[in-house]
Amino acid sequence: MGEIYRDKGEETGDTGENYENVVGAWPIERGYERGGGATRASRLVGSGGRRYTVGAMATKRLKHTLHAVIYRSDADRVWYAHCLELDILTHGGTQEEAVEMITDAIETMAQSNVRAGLPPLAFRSAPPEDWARLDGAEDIATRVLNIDAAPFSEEITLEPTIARAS
Amino acid sequence: MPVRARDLIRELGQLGFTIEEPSRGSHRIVRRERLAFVRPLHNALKSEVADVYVRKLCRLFGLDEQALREKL
Repeated sequence: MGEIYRDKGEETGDTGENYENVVGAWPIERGYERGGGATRASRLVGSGGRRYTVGAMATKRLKHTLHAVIYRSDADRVWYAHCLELDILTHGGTQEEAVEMITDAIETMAQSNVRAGLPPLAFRSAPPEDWARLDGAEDIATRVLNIDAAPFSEEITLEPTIARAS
Repeated sequence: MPVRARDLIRELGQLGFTIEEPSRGSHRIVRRERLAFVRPLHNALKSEVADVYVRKLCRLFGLDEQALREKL
């Protein structure tokens, strides 16, 4: 089992550049995030208490911020939930159920991909008309999924927002 | 028009797709090689699959939606 280190920046007050000096740990804000670096890392320091699990081998911790939009379909009498980056659609009887369903769908897909020997997330964007539902949508929930995906360990943040179908 | 999940899964199986049963939750994965499609089946095989899912599935795998519906 790996050891657990507290953020180095948390102790030193550094703005994140020292993350690379923590043996075997990658800051989770690195990787796919653009415009990251010290600014985003310092936010992590400010949030405090975040820990990295460090094993004998380097463990990459990556973060994907995903967006899901939920909307009511009166015709089908359900709330649809649509993850736009992954084009994953699901539904529930209520808003709350739809949020839980899209969380489960993303996790199910990621785990299935890993079992198939594939990267956990297969990015394929939803059509533009689906992205348009985000306009004016209200953020209602954020979920954090931790997917074990050896040799990667990915932390995925899902940020669903509400949009009502016209 | 919605289709019955049992019929859709049977037809997809004949087309060479694999269907992964859920270990928990109600989502099934339809997979062919690297492509995978996830959809909820709240009532298992008795579920009705709404048009929006059929369209998305056909678009993802490059299937002819009309031809698929005619076989169901």
